[in-house]
Amino acid sequence: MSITYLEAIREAQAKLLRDDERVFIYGQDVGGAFGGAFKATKGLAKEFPGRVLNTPISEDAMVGTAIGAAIEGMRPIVEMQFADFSSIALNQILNNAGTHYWRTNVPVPITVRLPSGGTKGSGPFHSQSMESIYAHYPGLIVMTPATVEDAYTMLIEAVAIDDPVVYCEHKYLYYHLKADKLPTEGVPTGRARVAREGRDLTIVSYSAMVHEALAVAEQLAGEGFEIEVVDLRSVKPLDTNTVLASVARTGRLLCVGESFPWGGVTAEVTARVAAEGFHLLDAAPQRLNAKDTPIPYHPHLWSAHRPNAKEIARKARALLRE
Amino acid sequence: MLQTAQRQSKTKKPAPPHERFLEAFRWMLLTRTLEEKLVSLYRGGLISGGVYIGKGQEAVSAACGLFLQKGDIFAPLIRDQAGRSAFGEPLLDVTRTYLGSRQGPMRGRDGNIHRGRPQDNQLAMVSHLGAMISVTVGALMAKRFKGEKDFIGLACIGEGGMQTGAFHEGMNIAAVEQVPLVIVATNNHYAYSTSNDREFACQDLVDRAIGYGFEGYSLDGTDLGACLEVIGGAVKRARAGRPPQLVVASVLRLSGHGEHDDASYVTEEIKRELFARDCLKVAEQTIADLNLIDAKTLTEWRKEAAAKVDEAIATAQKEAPPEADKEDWCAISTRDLVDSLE
Amino acid sequence: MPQVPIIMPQLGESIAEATIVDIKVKPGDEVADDQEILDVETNKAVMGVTTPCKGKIAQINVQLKETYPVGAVLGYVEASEADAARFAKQAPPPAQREVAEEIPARADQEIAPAREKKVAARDGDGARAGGLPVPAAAKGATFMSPRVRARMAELQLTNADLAGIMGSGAGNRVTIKDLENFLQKIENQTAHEASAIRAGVADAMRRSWTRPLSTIGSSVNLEPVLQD
Repeated sequence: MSITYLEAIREAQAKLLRDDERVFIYGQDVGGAFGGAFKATKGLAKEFPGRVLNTPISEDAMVGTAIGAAIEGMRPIVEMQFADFSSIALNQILNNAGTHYWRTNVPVPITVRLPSGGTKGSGPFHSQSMESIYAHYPGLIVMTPATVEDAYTMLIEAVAIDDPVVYCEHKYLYYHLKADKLPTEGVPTGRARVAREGRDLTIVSYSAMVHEALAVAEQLAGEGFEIEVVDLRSVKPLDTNTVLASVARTGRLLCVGESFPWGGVTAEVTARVAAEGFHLLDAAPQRLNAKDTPIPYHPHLWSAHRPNAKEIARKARALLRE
Repeated sequence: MLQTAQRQSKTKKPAPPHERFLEAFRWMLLTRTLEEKLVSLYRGGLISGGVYIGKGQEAVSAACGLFLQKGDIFAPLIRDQAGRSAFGEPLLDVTRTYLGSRQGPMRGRDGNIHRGRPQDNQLAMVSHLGAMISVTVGALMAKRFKGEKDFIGLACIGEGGMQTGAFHEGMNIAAVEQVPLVIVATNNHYAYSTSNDREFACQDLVDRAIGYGFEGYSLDGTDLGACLEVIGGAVKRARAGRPPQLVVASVLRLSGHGEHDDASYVTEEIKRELFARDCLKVAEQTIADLNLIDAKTLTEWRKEAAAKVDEAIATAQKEAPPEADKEDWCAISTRDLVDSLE
Repeated sequence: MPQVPIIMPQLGESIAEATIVDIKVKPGDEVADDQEILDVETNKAVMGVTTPCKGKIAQINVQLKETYPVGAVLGYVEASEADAARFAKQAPPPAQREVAEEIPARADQEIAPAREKKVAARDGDGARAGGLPVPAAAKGATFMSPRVRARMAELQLTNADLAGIMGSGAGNRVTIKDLENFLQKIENQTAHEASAIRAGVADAMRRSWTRPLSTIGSSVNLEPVLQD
C-alpha cells in the first residue's frame, strides 16, 4: 500500500474534520463531488456535510472570514487554489491575522494551505513559492513539508497551533512522492531534519528542493564527496541550531531554495550561519535560488529557471573546491 | 468588563420610543464631550499619532450600539465612538489607548481607534478599510456552526471604505453565506479630501444592496429618531432571518479627516445642505420641541458626561506607559515556536 | 581561445607576497611553456615567474614596484584548448559580457565587466574622503578561513606551523581538511624518544625563529689595553 503526498494531505484533513468539530475547510472548488482543483478534499464534503464549503473567488474575504471564525472559536482551513493567488489575501494574512494576537492578545488559529512551486507548463501565476514573504512578516508560522510523512503530521499540527499557519504544500510532490504508510506521530514543527548525513558540505533546503539536493548527494558520493542534506521542514521558525550543527560537521554551506533570489529563506539561513557560525566556516556560505524573473511557461525555460540537480551539483562542486 | 446595564437585554420588553431616544442622546452627548476633550488634548500635544472623531455621526453610531445585545458581533470603524460606548466599551479603554497607558486594551502595541475587545465581541479594526466585513461574516458563521441562536453582526463603514475590493468581497460573501449581518454605511460626503463625485458613480449607494443580495435602506443620519427607526428595523430583520441588511446614512463629516486635517477643502455649498446639520443639535431641538426633559436635567446630563470624561482622562494620565525593555516582543502565542532571531 | 591565468606561485615557506621588479613581456607576445616573464622580489631573493603553458600573452595585470599576494592572478595567457584543459580552474575570457554561470573559484577573479565598470565608476572620481584602500586582486586573494584560525588557536599553532602544509583550496590555501589531515598524519607518525642533544638543538632552533636576529658590528681598538 502506498500513499502520495497529496493523499496524505487529504487524510490529514479527513482526520481533522473527524476528530475536531471546530474544523471546517473553506476554499474555491473544495466542496461537492469535485473535491478541489488538486483533489485534496475529494470525498470530504460528502463525509462531513456542511463543513467543506465552496467560496466565491474572493481570497481576501476567504481569509477574513476564517479570521472571524477563528476569533469565535473555530479552526478553519483555507485552501488557496494556488499559492500565487494568496497575494490577494496578503492584507488579511499579514496585517490582520499576523498582527491580531500581538495587538489584542487573542490568537487567530487559522491554517492557510498554499499549493506552491512549479510544475511543467504552469507559468508565472501558477508556480510561485511564497514562503519567504510570509516568513518575513511577524506573527505567522510557515511550514514547508518535503515528505509524505511531514505533509500529514504537520498539517494536523498546523490546525492545533493557536497561531496563524501558512502551510506551503508543493504541487510537484503531490503525485510524485509516495510513502508506504502514514505515521502516527510526527516531529514537531520548528525542528529541521538531517535527511542525509555527510562530511564535506552541507546543503540546507526545504520542500521539493530537498529531493534535488538528495539526488546531488548521491551523484557526488560517486565522486568521493559526502554531502549532508538538511531539510528545514518549517522556515518560520527556522531551526538554526540544526543548521549550525551540520555546518560544524562539514565547514561548508550551500542553501538551496525554489523562490526568487533576492532575500528570502536562503538569504536568512546564510546570514544566520555567517553571523553565528562564522568560526565554523571553512569557505564563504553560498546560496542558490530561482532566477530573478517571473517563472517562465515553456518547459525548457521553466526547468532552467529553478534550481535543479545539475545546477546544485555545479554549485556544490565549486564550493568544495574553495 | 463591558458594562451591560445600559444595553438591551434579551428578556426585557423594548422601552417606549422616547426612552430609547433619550438613552441614545446621552451616548451622543457623552461621545461629543469625550471627543472634544480628546481634540484639546491632541492640540496640547499630549497624544501621539492621529485623533479621529465622529462629529456629525453620533446619531447613526449610537443607534448601532443601542440595538446590539450580548452575543452580537460589533465591528466599529473610526467614527463610531458613540456605538462603542453604547455597546459597552469602557471610557478608560479610550483614554488609556489615546494617552498611552500600558493598561489599555492594546497595551501600547496599537493606538487610537484600532482598539477592540475581540473576546467581548467588539472586533479590533485594521486600517485597511473593508477588511472587517468578512471578519464579521466569519464570526457569525462560527456562531452558527456552534448552534447559537438569535445573534447578529453589525459592521460600520464609510462611503470611502465601500469602494475597496475587500468591502466588495466581504459584502458578497456575507450574502452568499446568508449571515445575519447589518452593514451601516455612513456617507459623510468626504473620504479624507475626496468628495463623492470622485468616489462612486452610481446614483445612490443603497442601490448596491440589491446587486449583492442585501436589503437596502436609506437614512437621514442627522435625525436620531430616523436612525433609531431604520437601524432598529434592520437589526430586527436580521434577527428574523432576513437577508443581510445595508443601511446607508447621509451626514456631513463635521471635522477633519483626522485632527491634523483642517478640512479646508469642504465647500461652503455643501455645508448648507440638509445633511450638514449637526445631529446633536437636531436631537436637542427635538428634545426641546417635545419637551422630553427639562433644561435642568439637560445641564445635569452635560455635567455628568464631563465628569465621566474627566475622570477617565485623569486616571489614564496617571498610569505608566509601556516600557520597551519589559516587552516580550513576541508576536505569536505559541512560545515554543518563536524563531531564534537575536 | 581559452585563457589560462598566470598565478603568483608559492615562493617559499612563509612567503605571503612578492613585489614585481621586472616585466619581461607585453600583451600580444608569443611565449613558450615555462618561459620566465616576470621577476618578483621577496624578502629573501629575486625569483622568476614563468608561463603556465605555451601561447600568447593576453593580459598583464600587474605593475612594477607593486606587491601582490601568493595565489593572485598576475595576467593571462591565451592558450590552446588542450593546454587550457590541463588547468582545473579557468576564468571566462574578459571579453564575455554575460555574468559567469557559476561563482568562479578563488584564484579566478573575473567579474562581469559591466559590474566592474559600475564599481569603478562609483569609486573612480576620488571625491570621497577617507575609506580603506582596496588591495589589488582582493577578490582573488587567498584566505585563512575562520574555521582554520579557530582550530589553530585551539592548538596554539602559528602561521609558521602551517608553512609545511600543502594547501588544496583555491589559491593553494590551507583548508580545514588540509590542516586536519596534516594533524592526523603527525598523530600517526611514530614518535621516537629524542636524545638530549636532539632536544637541545630543536629547542635552540625554535628559539632562534622567535628571536629577532641582528648582528651589530663595532670595531674596538684594543691597542691601549694590549699595551703594556
